[in-house]
Amino acid sequence: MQRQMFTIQERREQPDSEPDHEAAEDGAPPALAVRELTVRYGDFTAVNDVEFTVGRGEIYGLLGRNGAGKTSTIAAVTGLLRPAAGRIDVLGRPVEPGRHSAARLGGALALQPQKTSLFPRLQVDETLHMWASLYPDPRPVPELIEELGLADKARTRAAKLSGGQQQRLLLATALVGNTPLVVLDEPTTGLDPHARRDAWAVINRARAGGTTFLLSTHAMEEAEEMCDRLAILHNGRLRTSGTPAQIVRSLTHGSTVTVRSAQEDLLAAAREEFGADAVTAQTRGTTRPGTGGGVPRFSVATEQPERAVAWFEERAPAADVRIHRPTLEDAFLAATGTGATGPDEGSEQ
Amino acid sequence: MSTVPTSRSRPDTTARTPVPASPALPAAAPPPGQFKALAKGMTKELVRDPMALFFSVVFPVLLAGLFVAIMQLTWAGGPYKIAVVGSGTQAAQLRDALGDGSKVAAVDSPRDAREGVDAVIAPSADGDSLRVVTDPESPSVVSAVRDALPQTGWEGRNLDAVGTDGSPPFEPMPFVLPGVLVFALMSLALSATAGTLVSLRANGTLRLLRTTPARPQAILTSLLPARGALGLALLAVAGAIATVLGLLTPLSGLTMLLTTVLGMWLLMSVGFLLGGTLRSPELTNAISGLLTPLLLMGSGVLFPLELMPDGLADVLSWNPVALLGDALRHDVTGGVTRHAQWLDWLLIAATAALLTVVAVRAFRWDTEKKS
Repeated sequence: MQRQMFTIQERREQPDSEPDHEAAEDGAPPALAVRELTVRYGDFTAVNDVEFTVGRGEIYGLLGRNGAGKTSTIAAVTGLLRPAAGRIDVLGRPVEPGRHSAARLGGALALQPQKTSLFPRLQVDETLHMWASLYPDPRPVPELIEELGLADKARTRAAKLSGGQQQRLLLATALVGNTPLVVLDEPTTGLDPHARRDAWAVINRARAGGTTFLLSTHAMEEAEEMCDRLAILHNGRLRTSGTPAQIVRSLTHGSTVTVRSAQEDLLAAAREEFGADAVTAQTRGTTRPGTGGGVPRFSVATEQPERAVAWFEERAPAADVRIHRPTLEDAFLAATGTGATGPDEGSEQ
Repeated sequence: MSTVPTSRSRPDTTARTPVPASPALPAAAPPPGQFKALAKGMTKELVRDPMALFFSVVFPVLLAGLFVAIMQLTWAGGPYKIAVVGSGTQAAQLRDALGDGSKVAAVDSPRDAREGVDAVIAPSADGDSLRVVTDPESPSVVSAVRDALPQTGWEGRNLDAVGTDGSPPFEPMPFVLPGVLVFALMSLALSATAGTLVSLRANGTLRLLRTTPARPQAILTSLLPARGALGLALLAVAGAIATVLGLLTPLSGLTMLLTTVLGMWLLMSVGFLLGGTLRSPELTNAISGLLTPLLLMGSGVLFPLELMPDGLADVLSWNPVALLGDALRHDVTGGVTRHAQWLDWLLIAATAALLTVVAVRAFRWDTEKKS
């Protein structure tokens, strides 16, 4: 039921969008359609009745805490495990789990898994040439090596690469097949900021060439930067999906203005101006010596933070006033953690 | 963009490169050259693995050298008195040819055959084979006779040796060569195949390969060319040594090839069974380390079954590795054998086929639980 409620929410916010799971206007099936997917390990249900659709050329992100079901979903999508229920279609062709799954799909998808080592004694270029030969229409290997910044390591054995370089080599194996769908399981884990942005650029270039991506990540910055749409999984269920902005809007209270001021009547005035429900007095840490403690602090939830800041600057010019805009991380915490509850939480129960 | 509209519903206005029409779903047929590329990669992995090469090639060769050195020190004896019996011209020619060599000396009187001689040789009527009856206390006399034959022009004859008590005499080289060859093939199967497969699975490489269009059978059989070539190279070395020592005839060279191919099938199926089911490389190393000496010692391959109690030896002689050693000793002429070679081949092939079926059914591509 949670899935359905969120789907309704998402569609309400996208009045011009067409329902999931249906072919696009040109009649072509979506890159990936996951329907009523359930994955069980014995008595434990890792993925529970999850469904989503990824359009062609889209980058679709899966977010969730550790154990939320992201990797199990990816394993089912790539045919590596047999779901207890549900159906998965890649470009309209069903994924049939089993030994010949990927072979039957004929190179429709490629995977970059987590924590996988390649052949340790093969050089970077040898590894990619071997991988390329497995696909019907591979990308030129030297070009990919150059793009991923591995040119000076092309003749280095995989075992001699650093962790970040091995991660880039794994990403290269996922891209070298030039497959219509690429599944990336935490693709930039372990990469330094420069390498991460290089990887994003490579992924974006591949997407510009028509490749569709399904990626899981713990990095909110990556999800916001890269993904057209996201789904947040929690305890195996799909809690919400939509564009990053839609998810932030639906799961957070809007912006908060934090005020620190010794002016005694400011809190009362703020409650009168913005409403008592919108103003929350904060006492935590205010009395610790040497930390600016002792100065009263409160926050104001508002949809118009700039107006609130102007109001405070006029009433209390000496006050320390800061705007906190809700982020995807706030939305993620609201959806998956024990923190603040978003406005939709009530409606989905 | 021409596809699912949800991808265009993103509200932000960040400029993105227009996405062209997606490529069509590729054909399901795998690209040609897939197996060749995988086999090439697996070969490079093997030849760049110093541990696998050491245990498959270097160590068995060192072991063979050690055995030969020990034999030279402990088994070399002589000169031996050899009686050549038979009334035909063949016997007379052989007696004359053996003459008075450094290691063997033919004596004239056949009556001495029972007493005071180390061996009695009886050429067959057609001259194609020599039956040698030896004193069990002087087992190396057979080797000495074999060494002497090239000087007589009788090389290449089958040497059918038997002890005076009816038991086949123990000959060091025909025993050592098959043993070392089996040891090398076993290392190739356990260390270089089972160990490799388990590492590939534990590292997730097999799992990743399964998501490629590569056929599963292509992935697994791609390990075989390099290992097969290495096995045949080991056979060539063993065969060359056996030929130089006069243990191998052209015909027995061919039967040795057949025996080795069957032996590789048998041992590789064990390697694939272990590699397809064990979880960790550490466990595989431990089991291989235990299994190798157990199989080698408990099958008469490196430790003669003749030195074990008869009942135990009889039972152990039927295990598949013992059958392989037995068949190889048939090939290196004059070795101690317990079973007919055709029976060895039949049982080796049957066991290999059974193990192959079990290995295929039990093979696991990854270590994770299934839904």
